[in-house]
Amino acid sequence: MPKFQCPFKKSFDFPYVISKEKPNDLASLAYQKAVDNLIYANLDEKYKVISIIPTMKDEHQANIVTNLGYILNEKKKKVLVIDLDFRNPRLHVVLKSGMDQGIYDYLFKNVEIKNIIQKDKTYGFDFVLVGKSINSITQVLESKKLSDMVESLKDSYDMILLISPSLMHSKDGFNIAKLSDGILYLVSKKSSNKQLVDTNYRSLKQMSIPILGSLLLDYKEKERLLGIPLL
Amino acid sequence: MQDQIYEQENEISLVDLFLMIKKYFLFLVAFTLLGGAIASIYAFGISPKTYQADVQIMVAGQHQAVKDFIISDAVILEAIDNLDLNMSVSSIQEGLTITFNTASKFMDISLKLDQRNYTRNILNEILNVAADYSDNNTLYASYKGLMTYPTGVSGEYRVGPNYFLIIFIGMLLGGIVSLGYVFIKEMMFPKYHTKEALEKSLDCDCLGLIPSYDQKGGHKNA
Repeated sequence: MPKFQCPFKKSFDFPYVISKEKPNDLASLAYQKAVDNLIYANLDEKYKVISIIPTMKDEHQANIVTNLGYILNEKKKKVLVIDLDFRNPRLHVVLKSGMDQGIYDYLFKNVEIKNIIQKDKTYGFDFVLVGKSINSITQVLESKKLSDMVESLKDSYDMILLISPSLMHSKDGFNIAKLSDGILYLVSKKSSNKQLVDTNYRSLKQMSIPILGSLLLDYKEKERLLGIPLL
Repeated sequence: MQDQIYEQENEISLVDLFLMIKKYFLFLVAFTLLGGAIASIYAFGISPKTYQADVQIMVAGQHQAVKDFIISDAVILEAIDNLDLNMSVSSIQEGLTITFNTASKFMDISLKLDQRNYTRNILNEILNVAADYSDNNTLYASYKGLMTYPTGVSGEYRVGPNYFLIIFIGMLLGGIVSLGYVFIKEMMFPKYHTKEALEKSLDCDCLGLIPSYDQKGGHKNA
């Protein structure tokens, strides 16, 4: 008997990483192409820490970053994914991992960095979860301790991907961008408001942090196949 | 200069409009049909039906006097009484139209009412009463021989409502309302639909187009 699934449940609650599950699927190929372009955009490997900043309504950025991390790992890159979405952390759901230890323990319990880094055996990359919920999110994101943590991890990894909450809901993305060397800007064709995308992009650009590029999400399959930008 | 560029980008082009209509095509068609359906319900079920009966009589001069005689309160009241109707004189007078040409011996009379089967009978009765008065009532003896009533009222037919017009207006309104909704929605919540538009507006490379997929890997929009 098929398991009942609530039709109103948000898609990001389902830990389905398509690049792993269906590597030949068109969505997986699209992710692979995006990763290739990301590597080309970072040819000199100047940008080690990349913040993935979305502007869309549906927060499935943890799923997107997991797909990117998995493909980067497949390309023999040593990747660390850090969930900095303190408001609605989803990485542990996608990775089906318990929220035992995380950034909270590093910041407030003085747990060593190496103890909060976990290795994901399914997708091959390392990750850091949020841990317990934090109320003073802005202060934490602006803290030197967090920035030192990210800085200290740079040497150990080829690429560090920072998961940011959507700029639609909070301005945390700007603080997370400050922790990174480059920004990958996520725009949803379905739910990103054009004016909001423009405004936030201009604000990010004013921070003088290089924007490596953007990803246009929720594209229709038919459009890709026909090569026609249908609505 | 930068503001000017942004202003230009915010304008909607004909291509955008066409793509917008294409995107919401089914919605627009459905809403247009819904408008037509509502108009049909109104036209066939709610709106009052108007019926008309016509007759032509021969007049031997004094056309205006004959007209005034036919539409007089006395004649119409007598007709109402004879038919035992619960109607006012004025309501029948409003629906009664008499046209003539003084050079012609014919006079066209038509009666338009909201009730079926009434127009023919009432018009018939009015002419009968008029003929009876002119023949037998000394007060109206001056009208004797002025009018002849050769053919009788042939029948009645529906003149309103105009079903096609109402349904057409309903569909038109449905189309306009849905188009307005779509237009406002797209103008108030514009989105980037193409890679080129995104790259042009943000002045940065679009590294990938990721299709949406659900938890089972099926493509939502495929």
